[in-house]
Amino acid sequence: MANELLSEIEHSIIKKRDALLVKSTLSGDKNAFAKLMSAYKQRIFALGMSFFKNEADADDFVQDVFIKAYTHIDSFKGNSLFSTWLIRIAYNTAINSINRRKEYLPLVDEEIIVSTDTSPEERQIRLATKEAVHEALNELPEKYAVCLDMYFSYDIPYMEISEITGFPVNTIKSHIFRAKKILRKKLEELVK
Amino acid sequence: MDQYLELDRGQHLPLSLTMHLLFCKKCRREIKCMAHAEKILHEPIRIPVPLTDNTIESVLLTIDPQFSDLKLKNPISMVNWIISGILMILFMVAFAFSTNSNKDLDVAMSLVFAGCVITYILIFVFSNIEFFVKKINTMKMAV
Repeated sequence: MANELLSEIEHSIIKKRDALLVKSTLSGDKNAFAKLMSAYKQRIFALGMSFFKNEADADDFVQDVFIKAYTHIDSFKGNSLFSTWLIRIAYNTAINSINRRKEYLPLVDEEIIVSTDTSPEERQIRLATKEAVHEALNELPEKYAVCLDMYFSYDIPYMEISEITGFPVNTIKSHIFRAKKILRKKLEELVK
Repeated sequence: MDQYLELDRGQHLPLSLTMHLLFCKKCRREIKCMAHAEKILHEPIRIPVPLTDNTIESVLLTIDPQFSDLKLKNPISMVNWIISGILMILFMVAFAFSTNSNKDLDVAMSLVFAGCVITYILIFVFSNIEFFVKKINTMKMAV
């Protein structure tokens, strides 16, 4: 319960911060946009790596996405989180890119981003979680890999994943439910 | 447990599940472990990069070729925050001792000072928001 409350507070602080930064950006403050980029660059870079599989292309992709976001920032109405709006732009940019390779490399497959685990226990849990998501991915058609990534790695809710990818909510929900069941089993084994 | 697995991000626990968790230590432990595992997975990509990152600078230069990165490199330091806070308090104390007792003026000035303190705190919190978000995260880990 306490965790839930803290998550809600964090969520609302981030939402308010982003709304203020977007407002300042709209009034011409470039520093405000720099702060938004600082907060979300890692996420866009990770998505870029999943699609393009090399740092140079992922870096170009990040620049592309942020320039698009800046150009269309007046279309952000604050109905969803800024991160969701940004990932939607990033996902569409990647999908429409003519240089994109055909397959999507899930984030859990590679150490694209340096982990922040501080203890051996956390490393173990992280490994088990990645294994669980990976196992679930193996049972899915490839096109749904991005949904599991969005939920587990990018922390995006079902409805917003559906809005971004265009897949039906119930399909996303059932794939994620399956992955969670595997995760539960893995964690149980780990605790024993 | 399936009821918990069906929940979405940020979705509240149903009352029946909350009641069950009050009495079932095993489920409570499992849920805590799952929440922790999911958090570990998405935590690394939430780390902000420095404002002076090359990509950020090159995007800003693309948006505005005249943009100077000097502003990005000189945020307000903590020392400046502390000095300005102390000065504000000293001014308030000095004002309280320097004026003769006048009830109307005291009330008006108290309101002005309260406004100043609230503004100071709001600006401080929002310009150091990353610090507070990290603090909340640490508290969540501890819980």
